[in-house]
Amino acid sequence: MYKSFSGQNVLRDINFNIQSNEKLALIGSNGSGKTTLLKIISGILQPSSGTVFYDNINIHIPSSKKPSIGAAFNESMLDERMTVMENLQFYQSMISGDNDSTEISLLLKTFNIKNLNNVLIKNLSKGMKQRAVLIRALLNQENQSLLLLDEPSNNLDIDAKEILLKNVLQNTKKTIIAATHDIQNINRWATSVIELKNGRAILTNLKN
Amino acid sequence: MKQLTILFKKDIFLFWRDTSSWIAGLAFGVISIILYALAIDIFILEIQLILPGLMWVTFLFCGILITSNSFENELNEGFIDGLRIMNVPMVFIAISKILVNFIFIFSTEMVLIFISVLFFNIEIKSYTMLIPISFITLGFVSLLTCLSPISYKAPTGTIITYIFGIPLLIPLILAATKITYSLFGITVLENHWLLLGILFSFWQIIMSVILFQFIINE
Repeated sequence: MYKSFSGQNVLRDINFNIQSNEKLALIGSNGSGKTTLLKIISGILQPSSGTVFYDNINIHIPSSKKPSIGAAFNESMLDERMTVMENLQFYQSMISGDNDSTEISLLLKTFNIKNLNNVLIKNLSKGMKQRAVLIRALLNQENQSLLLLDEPSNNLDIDAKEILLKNVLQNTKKTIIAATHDIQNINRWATSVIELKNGRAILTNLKN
Repeated sequence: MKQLTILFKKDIFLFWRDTSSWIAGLAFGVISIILYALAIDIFILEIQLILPGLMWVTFLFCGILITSNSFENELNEGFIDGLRIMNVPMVFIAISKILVNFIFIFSTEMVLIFISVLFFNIEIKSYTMLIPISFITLGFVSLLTCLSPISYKAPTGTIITYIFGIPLLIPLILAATKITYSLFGITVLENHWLLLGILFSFWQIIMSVILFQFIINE
């Protein structure tokens, strides 16, 4: 797969497979194309050439049956004019069609922001907002098959980083692709690593 | 369809909560009508002859004020990308916003028509004309709503909406003005104006929804 912006190649000859429940860490310096790659996998961006297949389904064909994806990117994808709870309930009902807030309450408790559920997103600190972003990405866990995270530990304090590591990255039984600069902790959760350098990918299997 | 209903509920709730745009539109309209009443000497000029045209120019600018920031919050923090990941059709996002903007702009028009009746000593003679007026409003609201992401994305901001929007709306505003003459019983409506208004509105709605998907993806 290739991706270029205004004639400049951001991703070149990217070609890799990942297995179900595999946990892949994307590393690389700033501007190496990690976010672009995640956005292409999520379907937000179209590749310039090539495609992404999920269970042999081309996810870039509009009519295709796409997998249920959870994503936490640099943009919060939350509406700043709504409270934490309103945002999460909106997403919950859009995904599953019901208003059951059991899962939301559980996640709010896990990430220690239950007391902030009635606060507007625009009034949250960066760290608290990042927690809300992660909760949004984790909604509908039962049916979710792929989790895409772009520097998920950004703005988080040490406690929240541990929560992320233990409750999401280590113990979640689903495929995870996460871009990260937190190299020290990769061994604690990732099964393989892709390093992006000048838009090209170098794959390392940590199990070997 | 359930996703469309949830989106619509969210949009109408936030439009009501975030009062800035609809209050700006309503205030602009009310002040304009009051200014016309003060500036035009109704003993010298037969106000009925120019009022429908003035009203539609006012409605148009109210519409631009109300719709210009329609997608600002959604585009700011990647909210639309969040919906895209959940496979929500872009058409649903457009339809939901168009309906919400239509409700508020049509309500504003009704308030302004009522104020005009009070200030200019005119009467509504044919209430059935409110039906084509509502449809024409839906037509021009569709176009302005779907062009509004351009005003967010382009450095020249809202001016782009004026440049693209107003020329495309001229036939619609002409037909609407003629229908408004008939609303006040000033002239009898000729059918071809009604037909032009309805057909052009229909075309605007379809074209806007299709166009929106390209604008939002750029």
